[in-house]
Amino acid sequence: METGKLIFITGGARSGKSSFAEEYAASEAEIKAGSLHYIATSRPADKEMIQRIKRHQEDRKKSRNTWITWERPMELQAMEPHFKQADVVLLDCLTVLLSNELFQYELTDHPRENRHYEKKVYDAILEGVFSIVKTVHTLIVVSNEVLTEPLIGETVVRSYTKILGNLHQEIVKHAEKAYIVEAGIPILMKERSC
Amino acid sequence: MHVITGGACNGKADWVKRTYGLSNQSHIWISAYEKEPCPINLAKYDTRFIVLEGAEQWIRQIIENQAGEYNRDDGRALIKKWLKWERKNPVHQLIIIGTDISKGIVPIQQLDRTWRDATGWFYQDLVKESDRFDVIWYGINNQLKGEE
Repeated sequence: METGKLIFITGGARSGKSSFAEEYAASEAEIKAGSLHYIATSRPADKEMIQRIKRHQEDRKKSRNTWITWERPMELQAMEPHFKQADVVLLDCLTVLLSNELFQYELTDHPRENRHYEKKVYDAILEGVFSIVKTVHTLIVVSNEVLTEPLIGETVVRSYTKILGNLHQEIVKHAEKAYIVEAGIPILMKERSC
Repeated sequence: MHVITGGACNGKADWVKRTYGLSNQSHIWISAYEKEPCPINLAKYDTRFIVLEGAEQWIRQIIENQAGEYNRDDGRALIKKWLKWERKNPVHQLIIIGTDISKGIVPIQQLDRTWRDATGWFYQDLVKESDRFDVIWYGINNQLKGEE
């Protein structure tokens, strides 16, 4: 069965990963003449967040492409019916989606008890990602580099780390291209050879 | 000695198992994540491979046992002892896995700061003595030292 392309883009905070992802998506959409979709995962919880969302919205408005924006803090699996085969979809970003999905559950201090939720969240997000990839021309997943600082105590953070690391591994494995963006410069870490 | 680092949950152990085909090779796997203490003398093992996983956790234990201090020469001495095993027999291959904990904000607690610094120094000392060094990023290796 024919399936769309999966592109993975990550980087630190303010590394320019979102801008790079938006440009990438726009040029892909131009080639295919499909629609451009943006899946926003943030919930406007505070003033800083509202401004941040606004800035991203303005950026997309300024671009010469027309974006269709979907506010989707959770349940990525339900998105797939909205897309067509020539479409390009940008998901920004995976870390926020994971927070929203994971913290709907009451996690405990016992790693064993959390495993059930970890699996549930991991499976749900991957199902969402791959159902979209199957439907569209290109899905671009944006995420964050957060796994290289000391893990101290907290069971909940361990759960989050584990799921995010496993999601990144699985997405990179199936990605046609994987990038890390450093201060605005994208570095190609993986390119599938044809 | 082959040194492997990379962020938490980036697939370092899986990469090692795959790369060395460990399921069909005689090996010992000692993991700090399974609460195993830091091995010092490896002489009793006679497998082809020894994998030591979670080096940063053992560094933390060393610091905790030294009243919060890290002496870099202790780390270097430990590496020398490990290498003794590898040099005993030409087929012996030592593999050290450590999680990169160097790239976040400076930790608030003194012990955590010492731990982060010591781990960085220990990795530098390991890599200096190594034949090969790879950084794993979500299952992909980036070889920074060694042949092939």
